[in-house]
Amino acid sequence: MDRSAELVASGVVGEQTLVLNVRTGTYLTLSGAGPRLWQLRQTHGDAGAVRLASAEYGVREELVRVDLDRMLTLVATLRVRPDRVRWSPPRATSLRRIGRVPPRSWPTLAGTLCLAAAVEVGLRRLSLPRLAALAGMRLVFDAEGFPAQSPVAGGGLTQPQRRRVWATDRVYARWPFGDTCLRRALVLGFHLRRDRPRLRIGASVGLPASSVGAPSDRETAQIAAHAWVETPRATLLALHGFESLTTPAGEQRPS
Amino acid sequence: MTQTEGESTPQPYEPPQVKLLGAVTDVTLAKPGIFFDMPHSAQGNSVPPALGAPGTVS
Repeated sequence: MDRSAELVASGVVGEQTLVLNVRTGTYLTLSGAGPRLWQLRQTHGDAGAVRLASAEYGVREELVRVDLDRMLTLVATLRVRPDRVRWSPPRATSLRRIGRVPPRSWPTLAGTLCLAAAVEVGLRRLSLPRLAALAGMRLVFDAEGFPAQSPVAGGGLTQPQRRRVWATDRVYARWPFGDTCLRRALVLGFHLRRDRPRLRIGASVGLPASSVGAPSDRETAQIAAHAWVETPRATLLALHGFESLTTPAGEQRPS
Repeated sequence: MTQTEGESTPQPYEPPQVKLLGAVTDVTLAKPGIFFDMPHSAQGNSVPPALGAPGTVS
């Protein structure tokens, strides 16, 4: 079977199984016997999943093996067709507001602007683990951390770090290519790289349609994905209700 | 204790299907605004800090 299908994180979101292939950068959902096969292979491996599913469903092992192989191949290879870059030109009012920023904050703002541009290119050219590594982050998929309610250790962000967080917010509030948590998380991770930040991605259901992709699709609109940043000092972009996607290994290393 | 019929009936086998939801850049876009929990916060990570609380930005 195609072992590249291992480069994925997954989670049960409502009644659906959501899969994120971090190498191809695609979200997928499983249906039919897919969620059960996925669950079984995470704990029993591929051979065990085939054997157990065959017994559960009362079908031949060979049939299950072929279907599982096909499913894993799809998970590993399905990609979103590259789209034309969509962007909205900044409004004149946005430019005027930038002009009101105190001069002492201009260097931080300019640096964050360059960083956001680099992230924009990286999102189109690199795999997510590679981009996270370049931003000084580890992409982590385990069951720990937010929202595990663990106390945040450390003394909070330093003043320079807060200024960079502020700059990130200012830049993305007017970013012409889209203000998304993943973009913000990557920039914040770079700003806080000395604290060895961790990038997490989780999913939830039931958020307003404005928080999710493709709101015209009812099934899609029920699933929202979210990226956030954890450091020993603070959790940034925290949003209650999201649970981290997981992999058996717990971490995706860049390749 | 009684057992319902539904609990003992195995689900019929349906071939697994994979649906492409979207690209990570398009789907991962919940927008909480930037805030961060302050250390030793009584609310832990679960509750966003109040507007204008120390350590928050709008």
